[in-house]
Amino acid sequence: MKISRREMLENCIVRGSLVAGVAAMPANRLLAAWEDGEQMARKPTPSEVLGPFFKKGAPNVATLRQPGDPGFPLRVAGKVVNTRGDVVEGAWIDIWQANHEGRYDVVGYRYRAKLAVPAAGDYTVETVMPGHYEDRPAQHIHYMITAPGHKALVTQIYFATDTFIEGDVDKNYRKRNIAENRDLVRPVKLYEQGSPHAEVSFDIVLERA
Amino acid sequence: MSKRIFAILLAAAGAATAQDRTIAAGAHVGWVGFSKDGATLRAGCNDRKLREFDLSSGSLRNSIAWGEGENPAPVSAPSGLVAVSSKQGIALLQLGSGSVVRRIPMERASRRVAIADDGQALAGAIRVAGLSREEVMRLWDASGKERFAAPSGIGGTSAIAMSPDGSLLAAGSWDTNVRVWSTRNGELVRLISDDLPVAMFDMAFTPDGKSLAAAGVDRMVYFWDTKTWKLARKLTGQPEMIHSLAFSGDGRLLATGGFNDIAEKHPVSILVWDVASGKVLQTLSAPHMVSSVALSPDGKLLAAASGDNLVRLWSVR
Repeated sequence: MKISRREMLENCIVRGSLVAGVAAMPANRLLAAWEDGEQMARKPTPSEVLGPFFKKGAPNVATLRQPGDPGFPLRVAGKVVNTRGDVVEGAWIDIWQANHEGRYDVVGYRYRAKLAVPAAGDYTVETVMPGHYEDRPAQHIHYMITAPGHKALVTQIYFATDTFIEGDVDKNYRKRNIAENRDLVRPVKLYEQGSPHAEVSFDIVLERA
Repeated sequence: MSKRIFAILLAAAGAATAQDRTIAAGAHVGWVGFSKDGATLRAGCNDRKLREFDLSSGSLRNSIAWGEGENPAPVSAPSGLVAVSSKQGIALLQLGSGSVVRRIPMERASRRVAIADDGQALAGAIRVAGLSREEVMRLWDASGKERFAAPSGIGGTSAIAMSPDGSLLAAGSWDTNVRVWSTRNGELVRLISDDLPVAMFDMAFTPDGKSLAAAGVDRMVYFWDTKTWKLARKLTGQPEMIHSLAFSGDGRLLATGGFNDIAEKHPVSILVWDVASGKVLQTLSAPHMVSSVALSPDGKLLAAASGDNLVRLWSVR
């Protein structure tokens, strides 16, 4: 008979309480506290809407910006981990965004990629700052992340430098009901020297399935 | 699409049939439909009213209202029922009286709802609890008893349709997959995945039930054979993304309309297709994004909602 993870934990707690004599805390609460502590070393990344413009079959390329493309160069980098902070193996990141004018390529795969995340769990995307468009006037990049043994995550990042945010993330992140989560409005580092560009870090924390 | 090409397309559209008449709905129109006898035009409006107009006179015949936070599900409702979805669940209203026939409590709003033509089944998907964006499709019988709940993809339902005989339920998800279930027991009859790179905004079974048609972001109309579930054909020619499609009662004609990827406020084309040949019979022009099209049961009238307070009507040749 296969013992579930929960059963195993319950077993350990019951045995532990017998040995250590920590009878003050009921087993079920002890179990909950144990699981919480174990699971929440890192908070799972919040989800956001998928939106209508996802396209299957994007290429596994990290450079979405091609030489001569208009728009402000942007590097987005981070790692894919689980809620314990361990690197998640075998993750795929679908990433898609509007170009600098706020248009999605629905015919081809410009500014779209499906990245195979390497064993170290790090990913980097070279792109441009997405443009604004009428329907959702906050700059954003869409993500869909899948990994064996983990729940699929659909999310988006937004940018603290966006004129839409008007310099006040706390006050404006929910403006027009676009972003749902404050944490997804990412700080932006701007580099003026050499080749001017922006950098954003975005770690993805997946929940176990 | 470049602005130049777009202008050429616009000119081409303008050269086609002029619009025959409009009906002022009194509020922004989100969807349109005809009654089964073709005598009444229905308009779902964003002031939380469904208005019914007499087509011969154009006068308002009836209107039913729903509550704050409730959204009408865009259903043609041949059974004389309309579904209204809110955070509390789905309410089925009787057209005419506006009385609530049934309430199905749910934890969240269902964005897309389908009613069987005979009114004997109702289906809607809701997001599962937690962080995930997964959805579950649920189907209830006429007594309000849940017949099944089945996983329906990630990101939400983009389109939904029930077959004319009520035996099949099809739904597209924003993750681009389309699922088809048996309404009897919830068995997954087909997962359509490889055929579709992009999400479908709307879908409908042909009136004979032999095909499922769907269209969306890539401007094509896909047809699947409902026996083999093989992709039977793809119609190309719509210049914009297709947001809405509708068949005439005899299945001979198909109307499509949508929006372009520049902005919602640009003019767009509405096409009338001959289903048998796949040829475009008529190209009409709407001033901006078409949220809904409908063909009268006899196929002689086309109605469209286009982002303002008017329902536009054309004669179909």
